[in-house]
Amino acid sequence: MIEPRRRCAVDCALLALAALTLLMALSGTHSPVRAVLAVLAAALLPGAAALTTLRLDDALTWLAVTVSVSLAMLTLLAVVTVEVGWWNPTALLLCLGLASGGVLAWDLRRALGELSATAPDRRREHERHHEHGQRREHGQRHEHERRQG
Amino acid sequence: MTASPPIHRLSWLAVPPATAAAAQASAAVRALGRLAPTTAVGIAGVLLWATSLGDIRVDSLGDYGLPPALPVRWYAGLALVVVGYAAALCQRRPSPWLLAGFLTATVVILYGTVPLCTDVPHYPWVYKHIGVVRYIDVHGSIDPGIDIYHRWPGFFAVAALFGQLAGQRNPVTYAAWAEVFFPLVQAGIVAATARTLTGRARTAATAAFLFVITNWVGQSYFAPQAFGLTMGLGLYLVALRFLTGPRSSHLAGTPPGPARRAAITIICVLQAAVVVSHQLTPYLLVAGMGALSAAGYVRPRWLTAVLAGLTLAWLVPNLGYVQHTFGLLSGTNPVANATNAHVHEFSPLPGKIFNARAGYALTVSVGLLAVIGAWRDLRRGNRVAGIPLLLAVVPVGIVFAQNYGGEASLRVVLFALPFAAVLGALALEPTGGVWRLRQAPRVSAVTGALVAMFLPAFTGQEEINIMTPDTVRAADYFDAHAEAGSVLLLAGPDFPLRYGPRYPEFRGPSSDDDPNLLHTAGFRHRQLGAADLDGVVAVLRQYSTHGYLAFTTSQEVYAEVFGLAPPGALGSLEQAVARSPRFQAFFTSPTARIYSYQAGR
Repeated sequence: MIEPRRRCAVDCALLALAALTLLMALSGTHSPVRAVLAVLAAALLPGAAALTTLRLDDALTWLAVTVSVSLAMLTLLAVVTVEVGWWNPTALLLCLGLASGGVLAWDLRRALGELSATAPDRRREHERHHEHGQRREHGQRHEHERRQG
Repeated sequence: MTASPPIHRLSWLAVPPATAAAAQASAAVRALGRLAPTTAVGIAGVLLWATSLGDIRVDSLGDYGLPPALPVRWYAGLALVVVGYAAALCQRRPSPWLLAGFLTATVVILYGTVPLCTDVPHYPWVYKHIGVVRYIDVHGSIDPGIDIYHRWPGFFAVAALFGQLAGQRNPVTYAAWAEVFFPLVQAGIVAATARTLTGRARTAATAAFLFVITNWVGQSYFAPQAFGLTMGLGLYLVALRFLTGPRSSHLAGTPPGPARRAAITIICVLQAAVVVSHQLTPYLLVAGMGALSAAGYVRPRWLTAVLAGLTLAWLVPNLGYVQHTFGLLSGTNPVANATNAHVHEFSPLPGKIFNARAGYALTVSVGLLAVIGAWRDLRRGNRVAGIPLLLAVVPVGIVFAQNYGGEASLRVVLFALPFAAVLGALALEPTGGVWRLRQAPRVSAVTGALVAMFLPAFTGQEEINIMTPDTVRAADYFDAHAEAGSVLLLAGPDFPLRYGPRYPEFRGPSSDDDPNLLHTAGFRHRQLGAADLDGVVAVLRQYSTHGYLAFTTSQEVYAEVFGLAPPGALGSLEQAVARSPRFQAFFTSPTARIYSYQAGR
């Protein structure tokens, strides 16, 4: 993703998803909502965090690569822990959630920084629009008066 | 004189923000008005389908499977969605959201109907995967001595991890939905790939739709191959998007260094995950990337060597096991490898022959559509078809090396289909490249014909694929209470074997549906009864001195539709078992019974 405003929105949504999933998992809730949140979190969070440095401006490609990478990261982590005998799903999920959340929060901060850095430009642009509009209106009025005689 | 910029480039400067917002709002209202009829068709289709679900009875299906049991409203709903999709595609300015909605609705209708009408996952062979996940969940470890799944544990370990996150530690509660999840994600990746290759959103949407309505081979369920394919498609997408070679510079273009390095890392991560999850997929990815690299579509060349290295690094420690248990290569005769030898032992009912032919017809149709697409692309002088053509042809190589337990041809279709769908989408593009609503009937006719073949091919075996909750309970009870070291002998195929975490404690071959009486020639094609009890005990004692014998309604159906035994043969054998003092009832329910046998009784 390139556009900072869209990045902010996606990062916020993903952080909210991470928080909600973690909350439901830690509280031991058993409901279809938790299962749906778990699917979304597992399919999006690790990949989205890993892809923050890769420029993917197309939303469809971003989504497709994010899901693939999320599944791959979960697979490698799960296999490594089960192979070496460190299988502790709760700790693993907590670490992965916090790491993904941390990277996404850092990306959000960066995107907010980019947004505020470009804010004066956007303000200037807006003022230029406004001035241009006024000038054109004034010119039209002047022309109209000149024609009226 | 200095040239002034064209007026249209600066016109936005002259529009005050308020007017722009108003113009945007008015455009949105116009778009809503334009899309409203198509949206209404889609909503009506989904509502018709949803209201038809309550009328579907899956407990008495015949040899034509599910299609005859589906109500007219179900078909009407699907027809509206297919027609609505074509209309949404052929709009002058198609809405990506509307197309995504139609695609999702199609996936849910085609792949979600059975999970919505049944209580437990269909396909008896899915339960052995669930058994491995439950083993990891209970033991927190794997044992490579148990079976091949413990040597390629990626998918099972992720499922165990996911179970903890979702609060569903037994995958039986969600496994059925894998068949909706995987096609949906794979369709998204196919769309993204088609878009990367063509730059055209409509072609991308068509490719995804074609992929969904032609994926009849039933390999997208809760299994490592569906998981591996998903990551494999992601790998190809990243390669085509970021690692363009000299012959693919017309694509996105080579990005600067850091992005290229990140893409290479991502590809290696994806390949590593596929390598630990599935035996076949990594080789296909190496072959595919090798072909792309050799043809100049992907760079760097050395990446294929790295991917091959990752693959071999995992194979080497497992080579002895694979060689000893299955054989690394099953032969180089492609015809023999592409044929399922077991099928010829059966004399199936007409419904089964019809369903199989529908699958073949669908495969041939997709192949033809792909050839037309490639040819049209060539004639237009575009350079799009080369990549999907290569990737659709590479999987055919499987049949030159492996029979894959009689499933080689299914795997070829599974791995070739995403790229055949991209080529098929090129075939459906209008000649002048301009889409108009009047082209919707043509698109509807083609997709409708494909869906008509898909339904019997994909859902035509549900009379044997659908498991009853009783049968699954029987399998669970056996796992929890049966004696370690015993064997579960099946009266016939079609039982959820190795479903529980204790499955390694029991004896018997690790192949699907084994041991079972109807795989023994002496028990086939004749009536069975008390005279066969000695034979039953002899089969059982090949494996253990104590064991169990399972009878289910689905086994009777299986034996009947494939002509393995005359009607009533398994029933009369069960009556003899129930009366015999050598057997005792172990689990009883209306659709599944298990009897225990102890030597010397």
